[in-house]
Amino acid sequence: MQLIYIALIGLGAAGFVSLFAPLSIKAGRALQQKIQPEQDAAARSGRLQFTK
Amino acid sequence: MSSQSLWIQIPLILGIPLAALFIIPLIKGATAHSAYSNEDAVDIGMDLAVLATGACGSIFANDTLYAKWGIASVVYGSLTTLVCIIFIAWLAMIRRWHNTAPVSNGQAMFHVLIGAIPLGLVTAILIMSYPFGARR
Repeated sequence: MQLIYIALIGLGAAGFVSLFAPLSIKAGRALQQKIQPEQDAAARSGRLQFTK
Repeated sequence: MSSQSLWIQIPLILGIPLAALFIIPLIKGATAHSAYSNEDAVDIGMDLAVLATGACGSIFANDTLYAKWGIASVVYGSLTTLVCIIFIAWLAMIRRWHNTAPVSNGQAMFHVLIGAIPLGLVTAILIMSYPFGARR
């Protein structure tokens, strides 16, 4: 019975956390655009540039 | 340890993976070579699963868990680590063969879910050891 509780709580926690995945990816993307707005051009030229 | 403290611990233990979920994309997004997008969700999932694997060692050295399960906690720790590695392997397979663009928001959530299950498992074992564990 306790293993079922552990599995349910684990799955519930994982499901709850995964609901925020698109939001966290958008936050990462927004920070990327703020810190290195020219990352695409830098990636094409084979080097990484930081603007700050 | 009373069951009342369980309701204090659950938001905390949910909050830690949630904080990790937001901190990891911020670090990776800030230093990514290409545009950060849903294709990177599988990497976030792998990071969460690796985080869970690393947490196994410290969690199964917990005195409360040892008082509850005794020497069997070593076996449970090893099994949980193996489960974490299985989920990492699943995510590695997705990253290699099933992560073709465009990845939808639902797929990104699924990839993070696969990585969050080991983390949820480890935190759930920790939570469940307290209310029903050794009374001091």
